[in-house]
Amino acid sequence: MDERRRSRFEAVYADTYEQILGYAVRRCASPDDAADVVAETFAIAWRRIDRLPGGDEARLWLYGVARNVLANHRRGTARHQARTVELDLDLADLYATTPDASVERGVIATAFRDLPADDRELLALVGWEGLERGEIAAVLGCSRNAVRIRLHRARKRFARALEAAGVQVDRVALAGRQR
Amino acid sequence: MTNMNDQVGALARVRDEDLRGRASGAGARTLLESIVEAEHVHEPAVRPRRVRRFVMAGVAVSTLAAAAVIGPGLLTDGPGLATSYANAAMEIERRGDQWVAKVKDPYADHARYAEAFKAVGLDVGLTLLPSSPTGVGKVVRIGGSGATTPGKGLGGGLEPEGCQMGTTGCALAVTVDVGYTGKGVVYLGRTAQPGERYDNWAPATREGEALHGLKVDERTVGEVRKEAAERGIRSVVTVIDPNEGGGYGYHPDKQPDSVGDDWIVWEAQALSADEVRLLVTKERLDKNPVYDGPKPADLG
Repeated sequence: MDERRRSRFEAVYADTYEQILGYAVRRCASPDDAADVVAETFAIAWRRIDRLPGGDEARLWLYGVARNVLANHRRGTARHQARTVELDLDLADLYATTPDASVERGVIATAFRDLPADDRELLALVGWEGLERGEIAAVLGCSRNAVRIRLHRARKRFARALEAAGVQVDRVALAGRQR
Repeated sequence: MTNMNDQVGALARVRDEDLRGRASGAGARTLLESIVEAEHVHEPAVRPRRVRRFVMAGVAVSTLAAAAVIGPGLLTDGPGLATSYANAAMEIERRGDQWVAKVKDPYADHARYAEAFKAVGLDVGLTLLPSSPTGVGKVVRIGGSGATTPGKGLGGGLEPEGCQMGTTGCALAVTVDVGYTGKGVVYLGRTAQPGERYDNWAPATREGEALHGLKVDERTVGEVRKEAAERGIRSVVTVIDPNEGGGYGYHPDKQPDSVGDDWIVWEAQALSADEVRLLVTKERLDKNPVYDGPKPADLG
């Protein structure tokens, strides 16, 4: 029984580690924060292994957990556990060479950063994690239709902010992926 | 004109594709083990201890099982494979159940290292990254690819362990468990060449770094810049934005034209042998945003 749980966890971990790592690194300003988020997300997954859904839904479920962990982290109520020196090292180099190149890309980044947090997260789930509406609904725990409406509004706000900043916006692309 | 998804995508620090192989690296493996073990400690002991131990040991090796089975015969003393090898860049010898690969020339073409590993039957690469003094000999990361666990069984550091770089006999080294059949890459910090930019992130005040002994945090830009210059160290200044709830960010494209001498320094980052980056804010803050509190004493 226990071994079955473990092998299941190991399989999910192997399948999703890189994606959860990416999720955390793209949203955390420091490698320490990202390491905390990754570690706590998987610690929760292990504690709740019996409730972890199967297949690709596991990944979406983990994004949802990571999102909550991140929110707790920002509120300063995160648990700090399970981090290892090796994990910290693994993350350090992701931050070592990036600040000049990718943390900020001028006006687009500014416009993005100034959006409401919920808009930013929706656009990021599409642009960074490559999720479709149905998948986003699973991550956020809301309906697909709610995602559609909120995403549409977020795109409009982002487009307005970009235009205000002098960035040309492709109106066709504004509609986003119609999947 | 670009697609909005692309515009957002371009803002990502990393893409998932850039992380490929990390699930089998040292960071991922040790985290997995620590999570599973921690839970075991808290779990009521419902089964005999002997069994539980067996299971725990199983975690460490289970993912490697496939590799271990085909490993030995193929690698140990198989026909046509050397048990030691040296070229101008590296020398490898077998010590007990480990291969020890010492770097003879840290500035050699990386292909020479791969060639040496290949000669003893290993598909291992070594990438050396210019590092500040405290980063030399430190593993930056271990990665790899393939269906097995490429990071398991790989290590790196200084040889002999704990030696001082620059002293006789002290060299960067990679260790590989005999029987290792994965494809792995070890990223290790090497001494930077004169003027070469560091690839690692290190506080410049740490013992061994350019500003050791100088307090930089919570002092003014004017003070720190002057005292750094007295040591022959140039300072570039970067204004950081503390995040709500901890941490900080900074915007290379939105730096102010001038920074006052009375602005506050929170940390100095080693950039190269004669240059540091001061992380500053205009106002004095309640707590150091780089550390969410006082700077830890061991970094000073």
